[in-house]
Amino acid sequence: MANSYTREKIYRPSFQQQAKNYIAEEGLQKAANVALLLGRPLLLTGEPGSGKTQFAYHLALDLELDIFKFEAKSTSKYQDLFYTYDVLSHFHATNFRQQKDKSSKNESLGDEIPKNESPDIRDYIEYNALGKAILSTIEKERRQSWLGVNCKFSREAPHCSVVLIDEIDKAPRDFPNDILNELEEKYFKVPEISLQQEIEVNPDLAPVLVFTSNSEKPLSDAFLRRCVYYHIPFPKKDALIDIITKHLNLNNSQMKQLWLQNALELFYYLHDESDLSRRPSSSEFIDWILVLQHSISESDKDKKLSSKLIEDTLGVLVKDRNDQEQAQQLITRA
Amino acid sequence: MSSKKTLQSSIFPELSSFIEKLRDKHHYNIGIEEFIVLEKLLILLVDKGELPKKTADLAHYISPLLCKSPEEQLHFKQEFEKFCDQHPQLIETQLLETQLDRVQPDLKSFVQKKKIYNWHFTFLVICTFVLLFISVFSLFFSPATLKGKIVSQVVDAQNPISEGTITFLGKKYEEAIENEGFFSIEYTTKEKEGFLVVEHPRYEKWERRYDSPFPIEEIPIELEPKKIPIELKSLLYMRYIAWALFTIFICCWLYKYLTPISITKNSSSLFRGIKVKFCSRNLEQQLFRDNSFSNTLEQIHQWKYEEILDIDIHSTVQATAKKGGIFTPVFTSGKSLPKYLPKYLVLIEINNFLDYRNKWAEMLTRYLLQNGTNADIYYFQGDPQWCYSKNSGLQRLQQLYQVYPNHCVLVFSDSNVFTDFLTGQPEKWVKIFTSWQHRVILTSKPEELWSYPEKLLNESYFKILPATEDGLNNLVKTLKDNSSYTKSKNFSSAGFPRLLQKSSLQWLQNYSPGSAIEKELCEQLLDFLDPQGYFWFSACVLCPILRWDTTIFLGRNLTDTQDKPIINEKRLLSLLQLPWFQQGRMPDWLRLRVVTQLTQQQEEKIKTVFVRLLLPRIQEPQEQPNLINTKNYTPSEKYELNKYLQKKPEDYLFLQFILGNKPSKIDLVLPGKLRKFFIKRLPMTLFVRTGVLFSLISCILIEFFPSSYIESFISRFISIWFLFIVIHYLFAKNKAFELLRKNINETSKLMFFYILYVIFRSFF
Repeated sequence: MANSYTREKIYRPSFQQQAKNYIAEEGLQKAANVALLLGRPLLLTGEPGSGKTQFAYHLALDLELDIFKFEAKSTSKYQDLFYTYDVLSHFHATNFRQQKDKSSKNESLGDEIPKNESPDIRDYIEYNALGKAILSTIEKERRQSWLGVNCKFSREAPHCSVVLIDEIDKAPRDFPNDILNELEEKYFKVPEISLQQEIEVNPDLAPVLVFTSNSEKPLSDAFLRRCVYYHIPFPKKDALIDIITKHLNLNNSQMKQLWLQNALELFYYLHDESDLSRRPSSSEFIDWILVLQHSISESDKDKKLSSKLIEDTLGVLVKDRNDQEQAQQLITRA
Repeated sequence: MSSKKTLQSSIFPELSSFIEKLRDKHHYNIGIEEFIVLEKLLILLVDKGELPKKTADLAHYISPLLCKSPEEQLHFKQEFEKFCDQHPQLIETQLLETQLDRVQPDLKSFVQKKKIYNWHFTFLVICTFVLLFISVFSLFFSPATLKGKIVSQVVDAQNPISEGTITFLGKKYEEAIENEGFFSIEYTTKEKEGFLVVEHPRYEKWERRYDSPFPIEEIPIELEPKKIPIELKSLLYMRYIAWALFTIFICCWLYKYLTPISITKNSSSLFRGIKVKFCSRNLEQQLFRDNSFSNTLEQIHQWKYEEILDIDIHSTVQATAKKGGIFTPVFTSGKSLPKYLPKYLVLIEINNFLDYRNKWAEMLTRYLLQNGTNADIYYFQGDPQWCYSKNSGLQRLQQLYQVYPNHCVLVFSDSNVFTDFLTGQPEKWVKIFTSWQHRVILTSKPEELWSYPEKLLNESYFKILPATEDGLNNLVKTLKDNSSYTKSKNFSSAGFPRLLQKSSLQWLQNYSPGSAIEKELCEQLLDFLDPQGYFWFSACVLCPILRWDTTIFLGRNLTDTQDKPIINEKRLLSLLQLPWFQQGRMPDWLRLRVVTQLTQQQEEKIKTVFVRLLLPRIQEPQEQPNLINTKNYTPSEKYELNKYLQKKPEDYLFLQFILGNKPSKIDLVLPGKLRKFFIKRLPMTLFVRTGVLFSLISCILIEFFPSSYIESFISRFISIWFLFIVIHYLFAKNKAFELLRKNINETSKLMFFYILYVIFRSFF
């Protein structure tokens, strides 16, 4: 690699392209089918970078459905899954309106007192993933009664969608338990608009729920029992070759090039046979291959990877100081 | 259900024990719910035809339901592999197929039936052509004519016989036998085979078959004395019967598809088109215009408001002053001030969408709404415990009470809905209605037919009023005073037709009750509806399907002697009490009877209305002709009208009437008793199926056990049976085709064997 820096970017397939090229293994396909058949949420676990999130996009693309994503955070409440109420903006708007009314009243003394119209609360309610998905299943007229002026849906007709609730293990422990009922019944309330009325899903168009978890925190039994569980295992060598072939759009002769075979062996050596505290994931491997592909000249493609190049690019795969040292020793020995 | 049974009996018990082992031995967190979900999943997979063929492949489906961690997922895989080794053939392809067979038996049988139908129909056609071909072939390629002479002697055991008849090649030779029993006959024939028959009153019949060339001299014919006198019929007649049957079949099909118009084709797309044209939203306003009835409707939404006007002004002023200026109203009647204007909760029973009673109730409510009455409408079907409205969806009766506690409940329904069919006692849920203060049933049942259920309901639960003008006039009074309705004495001068009181459904049947009863019914209808109402009724019957909009249109456009529209509330209410207007259809016999009774003047009026309705649809809208007399059609108009009506041959009666022809029955009709014998007692299906089956069995019997008795009996039976079928086809109206079509599969199966037999006989 040259000593100077470069602003050149390596071509990386778009997220949609990645979802399209996603190869779901048989077990994952069957688990998703089970979830679809039973109308239950699909809970996916697996190592980081094993393609849990991408699978949700792949599923939506395959079923030709919209996808709504909710990223769970340590501050997430169950209500956030459905909607967010911007209290502050609403308060400001109301205050502003009152101020305006007062000033206009002073200006028009003796005239008719202007009406004190408070701002519509619906304009300050933003629907989130599951809320949007449930609203999208009901008729336009009913849906519109819950929406503010600026809130629009991409499709007017009632439709089904995929809801991705990403990294649920990041959310507080109570979060999964709080949504148990809503998961089964698929309804929610917006007490700010109506205390009584519930927004109920159209059962024929119930959204497909996909949860992903990195297993950082255990999930409750009650929650697990309501889900169809699948742990995405680390792909085997053949499967990984297929993934790379599809992602990087490589042909057979390119796949047989020595540098690539060498990279694969090295990767599996690091993943399976080393004692690294954090093993590299398949997405990191793809990134590494992209970097290598960009760095190797055409003439070097039929040669083994040089130890210098491996050392220079190892940071893509190994992200711990001790691990890096260990990995370098292993590579030198190998 | 069948897939569930199959699963329960095959793979599920094994899987259950495996899962129990996982739970008990390996501490998997598996509850009852997982079992249920698993079973549900397997049933779904079987139903969708996606159950894997190998047991091992099931792991992918079961694992996501039972495993809750990566370790369990891995462990499950290993355990399931062991399980598969123990039960390698738990699911086999054959089992899967049988499951699928059981899941979708209806679909499969449907497909098979369809195939059978097509196959047999094709076979029938092929057989017909084969038989025709053989006939034509034998006609044109007949063998050369043979000439010859047969000489022989007729004797008995001892002596020659000098009397008797000789038949050869179908020709009879009387007195051919001379003295000493000798005879000599000359013949000319094209036949390749022939029978020589010798008959004598005292001897058994002698018969022998000869093939061409026929012998010239024959050894003496020896006759045996007669034992039992019998009459033989040739079985060869069978083929003629088969031919006749085929002819009938073909005629039936041709008749069905080539007959352009039929009295029983009740399609009404013509009238659907008409409906669009004159459907008017403010129809009810025109109906109630300039009539005392509108005053009644006004009262309905103002009856409580009147109390507000009865305020005692002097007392109110005094009371208000005493209270320090706080307004305190005092009423002359001393009643408290009503806090709301009357509000109505209207429950309408929907029986079928052609029922005029529903339309009437809807129209009435709509009119009340338009006049400012506060009313909410709900519909129910058979049971008012569940009511439906467009805005609120399905609601329980209790929920309705929570929403409308102070409303007056008006139920447009038959009072039978509220009582038990067997005991006649009010249903338990009727008590729910007592939560409301005012509750009224407006029933369309004629007052003459009110009986014990009405009395019971009237005493404890509802005020029952007829859904008539009189009933609505009494509604306000009933709501005000909570008084019961006393039956009107002068509701109708003649009362509800006596014949219709017995059983209203029998008058919907397509079979005429007989000319005398028809006449009597028409007379009673005339008395009940009054002459103008009957005229309106006569115009309505021209449409095979009775539609509310068509009826209202006719009522508005037909005029009486004073040139006023014949429609009024009383006549309309009378019409909707008739069973035909409640079911939305009219039998042909009644239509024909009513239409033929119309006078020339009435016919002209009706034609004018219909033509005014139809012609603008054919021509440009601005060219609406104002035709007073249908005889004044211009040739082009006649042509257009003919072309339009012929293009849509909807209804024989209507077409004939509108085109100025005298409608008449197109089917031959047997006298009542005979028809009952042929059609009611011996259905057509029984005829063909049993007949063909019987013929087939008898043919086989004769083949194996030849007996002149059986032959004789069968030949007679077949003749009579054939006659019955012919009569049935001639006189049973078009219903015969319907039955034939429904049973064509089974009939054709039998016909197939029968034809096979006939062909076999023809050749051998």
